[in-house]
Amino acid sequence: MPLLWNNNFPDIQLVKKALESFYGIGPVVCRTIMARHFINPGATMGSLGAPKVLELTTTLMGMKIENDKRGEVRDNIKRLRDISSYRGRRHAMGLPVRGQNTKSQIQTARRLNKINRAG
Amino acid sequence: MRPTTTLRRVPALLDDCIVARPLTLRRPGSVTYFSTTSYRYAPPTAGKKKGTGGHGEGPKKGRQTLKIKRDMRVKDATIGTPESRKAFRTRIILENTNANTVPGLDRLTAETAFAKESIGKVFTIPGNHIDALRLMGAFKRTQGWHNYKGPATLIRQETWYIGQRMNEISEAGLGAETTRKVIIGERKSGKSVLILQALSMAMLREWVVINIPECRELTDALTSDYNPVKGTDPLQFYQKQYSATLLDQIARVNRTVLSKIKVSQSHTLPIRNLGQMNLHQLAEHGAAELDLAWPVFQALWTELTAKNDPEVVEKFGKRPPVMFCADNISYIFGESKYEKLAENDKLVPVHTFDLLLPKHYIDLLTGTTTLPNGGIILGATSSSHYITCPPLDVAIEMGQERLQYPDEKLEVNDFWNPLVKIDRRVLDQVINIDVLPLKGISKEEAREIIGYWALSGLVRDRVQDNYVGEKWTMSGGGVIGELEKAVVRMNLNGGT
Repeated sequence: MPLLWNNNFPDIQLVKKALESFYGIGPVVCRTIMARHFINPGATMGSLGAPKVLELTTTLMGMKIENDKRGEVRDNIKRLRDISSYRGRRHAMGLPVRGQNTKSQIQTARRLNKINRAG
Repeated sequence: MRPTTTLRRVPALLDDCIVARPLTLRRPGSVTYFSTTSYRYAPPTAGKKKGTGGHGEGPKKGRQTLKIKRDMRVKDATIGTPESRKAFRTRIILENTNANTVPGLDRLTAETAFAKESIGKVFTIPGNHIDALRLMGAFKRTQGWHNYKGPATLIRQETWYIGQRMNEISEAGLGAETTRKVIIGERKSGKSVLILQALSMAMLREWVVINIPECRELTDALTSDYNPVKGTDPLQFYQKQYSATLLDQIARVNRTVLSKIKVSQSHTLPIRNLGQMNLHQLAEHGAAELDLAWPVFQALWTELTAKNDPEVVEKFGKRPPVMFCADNISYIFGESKYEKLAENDKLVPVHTFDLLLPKHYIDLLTGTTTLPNGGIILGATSSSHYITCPPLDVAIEMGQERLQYPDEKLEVNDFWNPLVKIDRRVLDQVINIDVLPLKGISKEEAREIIGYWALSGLVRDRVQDNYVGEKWTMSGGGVIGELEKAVVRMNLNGGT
């Protein structure tokens, strides 16, 4: 069970999946991290070895992920609201921001578009 | 408002209360309650049973909810671990106990394998080779070995040709030439089986045999890791896991040959008593330790390709020629699935020429590096799991042309479609490869192999000239895989 950024992952877990489990790491960022550390896409957490896991953790510590990233997203929305932009207002109202129709359903916007967005 | 039934019955109920029933009519032991209803005193109706919890009666006493038993059968049950399931799925079966033993079938030996009279005859593969070939991944699942009593193979013209080259190399000794061939041919023409035959014949000659059963595994980025070699430009990579697997294969298959050869040169490897080791022990060390796998492979190769000078032979043992084969080579001529970061932090694929193990084989196949003690380097293309590789296609086309018109000077531009993007790095390397085209077998060879199938009990018809001719034509002029499909597999379940 390698410990990566204070999270335990099972040996059989793909490194790709483990990295993408962090908020702020998507497929492209994940590929970049893996290429930087020369980890092949088929590698599992168990096959990495302790030094490589440590290197990965160091890289993750230098990145803005999880709560820091959530804070950044919140700040961005708050900035839009403060300057009273259209996008900021739509966020504040919990409505779609990018011109979507609102006739039928806007569940995703209701869930996500807030000034203090959760995640 | 319409009166309810209860209200309409009020006068009658009052009558019941006023006219008291005599006590003698009461049931013994029963308790009489004041009630406005009279029918409760009536004895229970005979024949009416209490509920048994059947459908529509609600939940049983003590139960909170009604539970209807569901179909508890587990659908799509998976048995065992993923590894065991994969092992089962990819298993190679080489024996069919229900098939007949073919009488008078000779075994492939050093004498029979290389004789011209053996062309068009079927031989069984020696028992000790079967395990080795299986370890090297030379048997493929789709080759139909599971239909016959034991693995047997037809010696065809091309097999004999490779055997002849082996004879020449073995006899030449020091300074022997290296034969390099890319086996080409249409689907099911027997390219992989020719590699299997070549490996088996090399083992008969006590050569060192190495096989990469599927080049896709070298570049798909799923099978093996990749590690950079510091200070190289462009950045080179070695693959620890695949190197260890290959070393394990080499050590097991060539145990007898490698045990006779001692380490003759000095290597910078963190292995104790390296000077007293034989090459088998060296290979085992590399297979056991991932971090040492690639340096040990390099050391092993240096040892195998050390010149057979008389004093070296006397002191450390004779280095035999090497048979190095690879199947489905189109995967190692282009970009791999591995990725690296360019200078601007942009993701770029790693070229297969920057992967040291595939490059090692490519250099041998294309003649960039040589074998001082001789050997044969074979590569087979695949039509089933094919990846488009324009430079290799150009080189193969040129190779075919060169076979047909040996004296003609060929220009790349005549074979190069300018509308197709071509990798010059690959093209420059492969432009002079030699090809060994595999076509259909002759009618005589077809008759022999159909006879073998018939004696195994897998042919329903009578094997006569017209039958052989018909099947030979049906199989596109004796394409052996198609011939087997037409003669044997059509009789079996689902034609598999």
